[in-house]
Amino acid sequence: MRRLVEIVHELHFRLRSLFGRSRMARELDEEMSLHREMLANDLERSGTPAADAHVLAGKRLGNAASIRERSRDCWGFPRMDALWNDVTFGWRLLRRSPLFAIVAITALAVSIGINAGFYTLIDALMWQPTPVRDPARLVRLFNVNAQGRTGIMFSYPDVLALRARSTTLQDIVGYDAEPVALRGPLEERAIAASAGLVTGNYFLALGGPAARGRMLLPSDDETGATPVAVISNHYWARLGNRTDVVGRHVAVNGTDVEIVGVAPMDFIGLNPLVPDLWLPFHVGARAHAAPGDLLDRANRYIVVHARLAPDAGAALAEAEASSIIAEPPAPPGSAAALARIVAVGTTPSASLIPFTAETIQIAIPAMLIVGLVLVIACANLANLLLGRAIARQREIAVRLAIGASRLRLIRQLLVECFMIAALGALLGLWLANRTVAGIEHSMFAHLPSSSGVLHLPLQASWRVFAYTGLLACVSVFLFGVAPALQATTPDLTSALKGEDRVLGTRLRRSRFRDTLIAGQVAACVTLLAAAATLVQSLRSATPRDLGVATDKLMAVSLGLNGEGNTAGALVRSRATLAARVARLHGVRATARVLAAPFTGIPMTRVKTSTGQSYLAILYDVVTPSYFAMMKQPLVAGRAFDVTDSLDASQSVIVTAAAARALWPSTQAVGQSLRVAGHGGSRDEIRRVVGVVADARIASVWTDDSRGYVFLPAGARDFAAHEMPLLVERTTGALDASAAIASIAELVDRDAPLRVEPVNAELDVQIMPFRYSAGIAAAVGLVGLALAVMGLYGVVSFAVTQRRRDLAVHLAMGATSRDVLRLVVMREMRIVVVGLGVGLIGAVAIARTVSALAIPLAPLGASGLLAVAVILALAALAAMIVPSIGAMRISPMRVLRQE
Amino acid sequence: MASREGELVPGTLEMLALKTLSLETMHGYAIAQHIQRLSGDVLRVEEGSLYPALQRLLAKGWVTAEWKATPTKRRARYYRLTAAGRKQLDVEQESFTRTSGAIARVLRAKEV
Repeated sequence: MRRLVEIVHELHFRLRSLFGRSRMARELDEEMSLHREMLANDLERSGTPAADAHVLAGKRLGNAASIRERSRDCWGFPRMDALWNDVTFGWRLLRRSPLFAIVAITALAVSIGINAGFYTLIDALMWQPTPVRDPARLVRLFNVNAQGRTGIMFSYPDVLALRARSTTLQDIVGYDAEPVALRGPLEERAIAASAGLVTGNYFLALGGPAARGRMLLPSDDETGATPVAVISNHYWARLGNRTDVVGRHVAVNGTDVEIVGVAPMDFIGLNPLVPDLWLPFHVGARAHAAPGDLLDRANRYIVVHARLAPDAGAALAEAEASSIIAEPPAPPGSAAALARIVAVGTTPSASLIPFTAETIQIAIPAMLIVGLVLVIACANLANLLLGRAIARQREIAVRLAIGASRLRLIRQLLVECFMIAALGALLGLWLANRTVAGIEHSMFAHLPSSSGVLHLPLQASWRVFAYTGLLACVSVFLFGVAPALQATTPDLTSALKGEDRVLGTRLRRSRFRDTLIAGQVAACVTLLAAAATLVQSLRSATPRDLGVATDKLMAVSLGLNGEGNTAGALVRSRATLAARVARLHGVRATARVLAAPFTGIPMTRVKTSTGQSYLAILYDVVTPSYFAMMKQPLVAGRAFDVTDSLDASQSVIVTAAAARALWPSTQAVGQSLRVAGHGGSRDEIRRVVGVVADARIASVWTDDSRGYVFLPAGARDFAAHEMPLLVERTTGALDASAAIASIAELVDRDAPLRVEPVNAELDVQIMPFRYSAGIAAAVGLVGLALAVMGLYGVVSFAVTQRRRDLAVHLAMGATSRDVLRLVVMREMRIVVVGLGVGLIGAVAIARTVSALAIPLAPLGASGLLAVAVILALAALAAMIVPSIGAMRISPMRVLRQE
Repeated sequence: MASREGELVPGTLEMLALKTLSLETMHGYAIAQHIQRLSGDVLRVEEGSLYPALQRLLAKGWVTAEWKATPTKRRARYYRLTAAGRKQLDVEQESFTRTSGAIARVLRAKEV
């Protein structure tokens, strides 16, 4: 206790003296001069001569400077003073060589920025808690069918059954987002908006109180309840933040729904795409926003989250949920038997990407690979610092000679490194922040308004700052320590004698520099190989060659989404619109389809005449002009024609893949195909009239390996479905959407119109791939650029150092080509060593990747070779420029300087 | 050079200063004079060393200082022992007595 008081007292004393040091020094001086005077007086009084007394008094008092120095030890914080001195000294040095400072800080900032930005993404997706109340025990449910396929969609009856019977899962909530036509109170026209269909307990389970009015309640789920909705804060803002909004009505797909509340600004819920309003499922079903029949157990479109009960583990909850959801066995071989759900599992859902062993297995190697950029930058910096150390060897040698300890000098050098790292890290954080914000902005700009407003937690958290700080420290270790040790080796004291001027001594290359170059090249190869792997895999996952031409297509929807909204007037309006748009100037062709390309292409079940069981297959219903407009060539038979527009038509067209899947050994054209009926209607027997080439029209993540089946559109389809209109504009024609809008206005002014490029939907789907590939490519290119920069620096430095040597070579009759070979070969050998090591690293990564359960195709031998060649060429280019300088050396001039 | 007679073991000066100040409040010169006089001029303090020692005592909170006029109307810094300083003096005195007693015993044993 007493010690503690002393420590606190001393700390206080030192702190106070930190700011009153000059006063304290004055007081000490006053005290000492008083002492000297009194002592001299006493000595005089005891008989010493006045002249001697003063000298003697001074002697007895001792060395004033030393006394002052020793007293000073109690004032302030002497170690920190030394550090401060180092910092100011380092700052002066950095300011004296601004080019070095700029290069070093920029290289670090870019590489630290890339790492910090990448970590910001990982942090946001994996660490930041799901923005709901108590996310820790939150899980997302998935189901497994008899074929072993997993799915995350459940049906409404599934949700009801779980809520009624599960004891191990609490707060079971269902969520589904659907595009709707939304007309606000007092507004004339509906807009394309996003509706979140939720169970009534959604807000009680996940969020706080309403900003206005009330949130939805479990009682809103009852079938007889008034149709109500909660609107999001951004939709409320769109309505002008009206204070009287609660109690007013909105029209969702034309159905009146009462607004009971406004969600708070920070309510995001389980999906980062925040909808414009939330509706109970039965309200959504009434407004035809929910797909299909709400009470059909096979109609699965709801994502289900729940909390594990406090005393229940995941395994227990999964077992119980499986027993509730699993379906009874169906006759073997039937389609139902294959699609049957056999089990239910849970995934932790405390963050956007679950924090599980598998995701960590991907995240950590990814972070390490991005870290290679920093390694390359640090190798560059280490080289730069070595160069500087050689330039400063005289200064360092002098300081060592006059008694500075090596440790003190190393500290001084490291403080300089820390300053570079700190400035680099700060700039890097700023860069990362800007880049991430830019990515977020550009992602946001790609989203159509009917998918809601994106809320990603991409703000840098304290973990990002901590990680950046850690990176700065690691980088100092990587680039600072070795040069500091090298620079202060006592060998360098030979610098005092100017030995570096003697021909030959400094020609002995530092092995350390060679290691740096080789390491840099190796890191760069590994990085490029990893980036190429990612880019290649993402490209193969992204359908580049779709097989159809959709660039100039627009999808036009008139009226409400979903089925069953087919009042006769609207059916006629759509037909009129289609007919008029087809005659528009600048429109080359039109077609009507059941589902526009890249939207939810439906599935049906088909069976061949000889087949034992049904096969689930993607299908679309199209008008005769479809294939010509899509430029999907006919492989065999014929396309649909006018006769197929009759309801009685029994034609069907299959794609080549579907033909192979259904009739592996015979011609498809002419075969009969049984197509399962929908909604209670009977199966139809159809005849294949044509085979078209393979082309993807399903969404990117749909498995379309079994191809597609196309049915001709007839009056029945137009009456029962929305059948959007696809419009192809002629090359060079202006956007026809304005013209289409004015026709729609004439045809049916009440029906909401949506005109969107068909590829917009595709763009949204491949957005994650595109961004990931873009990030990977950018990281790889920055790594390459840094490595090239480093090699350039090293070679130019080596050339400068070897000027005399090269001049001697030239004087002795070497040609400039010999000089080039001398300079380049020396470095190229090291580059080749680095390439070798890097390729080994790349192969190791490829091995790891193929061992992981992620869909990444490792780079093949040709890919690795390509990376190696690219790097070798880049290295050669980086060396040639300074080498040309070496070739131009004039031996006479150089040697005369000696 | 071997240890000169009368040179102080490090840390002893602080103890002596504390002891001196336990008698009365005084300024630096007086403390130095007091130690020298009482030690019979055996202990040769490099008088300047007293001032860093006093700064250490101040830092620890064992003494406080105050500028006052001397009887000869000079401005001087007077040091005063605090309660904590008095306790510290007791502790140091005790440990010193024990150590020096032990050393003395060892030396006597060697003579036998």
